[in-house]
Amino acid sequence: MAVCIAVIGKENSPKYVACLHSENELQFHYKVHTALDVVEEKLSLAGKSNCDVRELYLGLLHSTEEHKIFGYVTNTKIKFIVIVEAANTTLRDNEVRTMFRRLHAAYTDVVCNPFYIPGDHIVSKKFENVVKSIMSGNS
Amino acid sequence: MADEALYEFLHSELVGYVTEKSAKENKKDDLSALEYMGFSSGYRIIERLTKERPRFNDELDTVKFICTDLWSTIYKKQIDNLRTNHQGVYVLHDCAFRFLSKLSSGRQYLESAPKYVAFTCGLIRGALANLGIKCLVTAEVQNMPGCKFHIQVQRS
Amino acid sequence: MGRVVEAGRRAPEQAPPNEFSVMDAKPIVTYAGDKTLFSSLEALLVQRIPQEATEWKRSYGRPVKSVFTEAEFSPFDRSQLPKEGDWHLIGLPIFHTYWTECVDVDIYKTSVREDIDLWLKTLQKFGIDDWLIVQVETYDIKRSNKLLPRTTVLDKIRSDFASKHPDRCISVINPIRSESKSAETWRGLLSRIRVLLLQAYDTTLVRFEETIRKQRERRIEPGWSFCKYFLLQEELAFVLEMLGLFEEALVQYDELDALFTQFVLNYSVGETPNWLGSFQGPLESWPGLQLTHKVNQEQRLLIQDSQASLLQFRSYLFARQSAMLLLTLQPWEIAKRTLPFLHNCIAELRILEVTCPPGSVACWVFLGCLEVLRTCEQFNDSTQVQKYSRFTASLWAYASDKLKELGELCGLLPGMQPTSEQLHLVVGLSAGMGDVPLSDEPTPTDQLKEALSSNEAFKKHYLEFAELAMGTFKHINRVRLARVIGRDLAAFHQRLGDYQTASLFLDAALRMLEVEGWRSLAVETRQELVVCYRHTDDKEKYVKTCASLACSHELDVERRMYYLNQMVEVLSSITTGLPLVTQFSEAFELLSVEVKTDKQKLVVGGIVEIVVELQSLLPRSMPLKQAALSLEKISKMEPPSETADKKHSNSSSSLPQTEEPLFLKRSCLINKSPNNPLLSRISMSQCLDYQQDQSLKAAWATCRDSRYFLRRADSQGNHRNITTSLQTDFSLCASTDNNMLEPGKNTLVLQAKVTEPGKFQFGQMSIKLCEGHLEFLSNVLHCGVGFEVTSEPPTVSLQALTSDLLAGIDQEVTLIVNTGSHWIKKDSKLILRPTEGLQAQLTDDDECLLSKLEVALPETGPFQTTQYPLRVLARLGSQKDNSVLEHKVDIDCPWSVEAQPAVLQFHPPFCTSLRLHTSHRRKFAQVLVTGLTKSFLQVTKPELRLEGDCSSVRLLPLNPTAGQPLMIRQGFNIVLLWELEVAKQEEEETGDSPIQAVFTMFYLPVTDSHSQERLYQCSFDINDYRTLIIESAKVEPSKGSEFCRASTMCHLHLTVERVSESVRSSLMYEVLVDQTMWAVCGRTTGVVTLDESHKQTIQLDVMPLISGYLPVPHVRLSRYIPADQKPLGKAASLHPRREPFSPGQVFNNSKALQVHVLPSAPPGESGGP
Repeated sequence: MAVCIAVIGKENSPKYVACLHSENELQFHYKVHTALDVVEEKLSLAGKSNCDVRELYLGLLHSTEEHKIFGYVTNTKIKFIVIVEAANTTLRDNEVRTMFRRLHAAYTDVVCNPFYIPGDHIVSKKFENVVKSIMSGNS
Repeated sequence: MADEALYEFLHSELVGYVTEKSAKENKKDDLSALEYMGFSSGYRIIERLTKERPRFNDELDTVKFICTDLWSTIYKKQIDNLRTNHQGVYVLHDCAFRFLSKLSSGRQYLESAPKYVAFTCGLIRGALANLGIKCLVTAEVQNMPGCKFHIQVQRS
Repeated sequence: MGRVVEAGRRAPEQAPPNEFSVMDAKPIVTYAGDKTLFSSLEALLVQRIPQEATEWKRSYGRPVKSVFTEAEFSPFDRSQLPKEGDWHLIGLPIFHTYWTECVDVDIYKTSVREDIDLWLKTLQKFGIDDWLIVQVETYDIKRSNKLLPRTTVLDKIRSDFASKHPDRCISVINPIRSESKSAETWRGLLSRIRVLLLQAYDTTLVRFEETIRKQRERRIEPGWSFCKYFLLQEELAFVLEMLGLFEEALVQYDELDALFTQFVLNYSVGETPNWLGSFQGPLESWPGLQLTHKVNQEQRLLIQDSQASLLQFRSYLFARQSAMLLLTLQPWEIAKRTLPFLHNCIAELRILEVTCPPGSVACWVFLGCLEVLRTCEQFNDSTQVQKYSRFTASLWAYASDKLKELGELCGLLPGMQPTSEQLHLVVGLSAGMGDVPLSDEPTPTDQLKEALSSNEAFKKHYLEFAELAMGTFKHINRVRLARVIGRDLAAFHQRLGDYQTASLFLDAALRMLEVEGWRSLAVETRQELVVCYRHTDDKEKYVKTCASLACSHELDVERRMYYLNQMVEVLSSITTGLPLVTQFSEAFELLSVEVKTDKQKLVVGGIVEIVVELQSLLPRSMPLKQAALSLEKISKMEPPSETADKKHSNSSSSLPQTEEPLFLKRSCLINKSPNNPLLSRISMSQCLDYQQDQSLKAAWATCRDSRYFLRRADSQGNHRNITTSLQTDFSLCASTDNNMLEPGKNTLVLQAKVTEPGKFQFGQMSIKLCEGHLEFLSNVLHCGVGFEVTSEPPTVSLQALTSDLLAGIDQEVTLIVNTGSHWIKKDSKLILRPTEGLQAQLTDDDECLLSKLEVALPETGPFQTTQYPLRVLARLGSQKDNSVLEHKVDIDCPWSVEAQPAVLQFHPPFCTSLRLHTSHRRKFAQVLVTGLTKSFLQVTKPELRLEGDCSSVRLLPLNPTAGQPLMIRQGFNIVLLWELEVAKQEEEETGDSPIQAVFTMFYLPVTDSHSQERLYQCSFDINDYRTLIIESAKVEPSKGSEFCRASTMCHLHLTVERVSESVRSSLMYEVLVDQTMWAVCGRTTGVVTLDESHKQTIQLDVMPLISGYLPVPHVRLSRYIPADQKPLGKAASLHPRREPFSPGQVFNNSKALQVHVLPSAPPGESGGP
């Protein structure tokens, strides 16, 4: 049950951003954009410390009064950002991980589509449907 | 087993088609189209293959992944020997490269060998490109079916 | 003898009644027994106990910690012992000691034992097992000599009371009396006390934890109060803190934190414990957090009485947690926990439906942030700063956000005027914050109160906090967050009316967004920037930004139109002459560039047409003032070397390297390939390696331009880099004017006139709109498209139609003019100047042939060939042989300074020769006309006449006048004959003067009807036309023979007759024979003079060698000049000389005469030799 899901490309430009409610969409764009700072910080820390932070899931990046922002970076440097409402206290860590897994699977399908040129915006309807179902909390 | 044969046949038909086409356009010896096809395929498939895998530690780790997981998935075996100078140059030696093993086991048809390895060169290049490593991959065939892939990573 | 032990809890120090420091608390140890003895030792104990750390072994496998214990001693008081249900730990005695000095067993038996017994029983009654009996011995020198009694008092005590725990009795030598001896025992005592003290704590804490657990399990029961439970567990935390185990204390607090949070969460799903109600009261005060080591007693009491509000409780708990963290020097952890803590509180307030006055929570949050920030700032160490900056940055941002919220609420933002209601609100908020005791620096509460007091103060504080936030984010390299705060600052500055500063912030944010490709955010920022530019009256930037917005497809059409109109409007008010230059890619997208020419090559002076397809992103059609594409000439390719690379990286401008590309394309599609250089194609090709012996060593699939592909990334630059292009040289460009640009795809045809040869490629594209005031300049196109302009000089040549040109007859040649790559202007002409003897004229022209011909050239384009048929006539002079006449024609061309030569070779159509024939004295002149042409020429009126002094000679024609027309051709010759009548000459020795005979005839080519008869004239010199001598030779057999026989001597009779008077000299005769046929016996030469007689005969002997019809031997006659006589015209010589005669002067009568020679006679025949 997320309010915003975003896919960011290798050079930190947005490839796909979807919000559950269309008002305040720009605010979510900003939130996703600024979350990238934390993502980069975590990635650089992971490289240095070489500890067991080799997981793709980065966990909670940032939280505000209303929202919590989670991040996930694939091996191919694609970043997924999921924003959930802070009031949603029933959300467990596992559920968030599942969201990212589904997102990753959908993204992989997009990349394998020969009509998709890597680096472009994602326009695949199938991907959109997966994102919509993740956002609305359907499994 | 059937899927192995399918892939081999598809590849050899691909090579034949592209060679014929470039002969018509008077671009003999040009393997760029095959290489780019491999590039595109490698780029895309690596996304799927690294989905479950934790993050790579460094460049060497990434190349090792190519040698083991990628090769096993596509060519049903691993690279037999990996050498590197730790400065961005890697040599992957496959003693029995699948596409060449059906051609000959010696020097016969050696002059046709480059056509059959161009796709794989692109495959490696595309896979590494998607993992953030820009490189150039060339291939050397001396004694079939062995093949050496040379990877040269762009210094930055 | 029980002594009344006065005990009482020692009152805490005179600290402010609201707080006490746990750390200052010490474990309380009671003492019983000999009080005076103890008093003397107390100071020493208190001082020495904390001096060493002890290993604290604990139960349940808890890790061993090293603890410094302290102790505070108080007299044993039964009433102070912990009772059942008493949950205090601090302030309660934990360890009990009994001191005695008794060394006498008997005294011991009488009084001390009882006392100890009583003491122990009391302890046992309370279930206390933690005690120690100390026997202090005073070392007495006197005693030492004595033998020690068998059982000491210590032994007795031990046996009486501590048989199971022998370590609970210890003996020590009084240090006051004898320092040296007691040291060891004293150490023993200290360590024993420490160990037992800690042991006491272990057991106590274990028991206490049990209590805690039991209590926790009862939480579902009604009547259970969290606050009570809280205080219970806090005691444990206090003890741990006291013992210096801060991390463990923190753990206790964290557990309480989690427990409470869980309760609140459970409330949201419907579980409502009774005690929770106490936290749900409306919020009445919101004092800020205060982070100190000390415990805020006031708040604690409130909690105890269940009077604390949620915020107060949470503040207290957080303060305690922070205190633990401060004690372990982890300020970053505090900073890290602050934000989640604040968020959590706000969430809890919401869940518990606590009514809060507007702004109260914001105040509390602000104060909390500031307090944490202030606390962190006390740590100046750079590693600390580095660590906590990661978290304090967000706190600064949060604080400034909250301040802004308050400002909006209270009417303190710039441009707002607080209403009375808002002033009221401020007062209320200030009251709710409460007062804080004065300190040196302004406290957060003071700062907030000040900030809310006036617009000015608010502005000062807000800017300070926001900029601190921005600065800290930049410091920790979270640039995006810094830029977003910049946006907030920009909005604030806009309210202040400071649009200049606002535009700076927005510009920085915009740049970052553009680089990373966040288009919708960039458009949003641009819209704000546009407002700023309008206010700062920065027209240029305004126009540029409007242009960019007009082309953003993220906006709707209406807005885009608005921006476009704005752009045009403001542009017209800019008065500088130069056009305003902006980025091409903002408004247009180049699709393809194609050089459109026909198959022919491009030439100098020609027009190149380039078709450009571009996409216009403008929302409506705009008149195009000019579209131009700059052209650059490609210089010679530089060798790929290090210097070339260095130049590339050193050049600061964006001009492209003038390397000759591998090939020049005619057209290309721009922007079709992926922008990302990571996805670029490489050119791979096959390469076969051969060994020395031609056998294949290896086959490679390799890449040719690997160096280019792998060049260092920094030299390429970010492919998404937004750089403003410098204007390259547009002096050479292809352009078009005055079109209309429609939205969407446009096709423009640009034209350029080329003036010099070479290879050209395209540089930049420029589009000028709005009467040329706005120019869109693109990046340099590296598409490799260009064209080549060749320059070929024109050529002129003369060509004969037929393979052989004939002299003397009108011939046709063609003047071929190939214009090469040039244009021939109107009124140019060629001037043909042939060499002497050749005349030419244009075939069309009926004028006569000229020796200098002007050919007017019409205006011609390049690569055209025009032909001008010419008639030429090469003069035919005296042609005595078939040598070729070569004529050179110099052609003056208007395009070149030097005349171009053309060579024509003319073959003579015929040649004439004259030969003199003699018959005795009669002379005949024979003219042979040898035809050399392939086609017939008709010859008419052949005449031979004599020139000069011809009194002695006369020509008589012997040719038939009528008859067939005379035709000559190759193979067909004419022979014409005249007789030469030579007058008899009387004088002697006068040579006949040579006469000149001129042969004329008219000739006409038969096939050509146009040509006319031409006259041919040839003069011959006739010399020696007089017969001087007639010779005749005769061969007769020798006397006696009838016939001449082979190998038989015969006689040759030579008769020489003089017929002219001019020969008076001697003659020499020579017999010339074929050696195979004749053998001359005797002389072969001789001299004969003809002075007197006219005739002379000479007889010679010759012998035929073979039989048959043999020719009569030829005798050659020559003039004989004796030695001393001068030959004609020559110097005298000593030798006799012979001078030959001219052919006409000697007539051989017996020419071609043959003599029949019979074979040699067979022997027996008469007539032997």
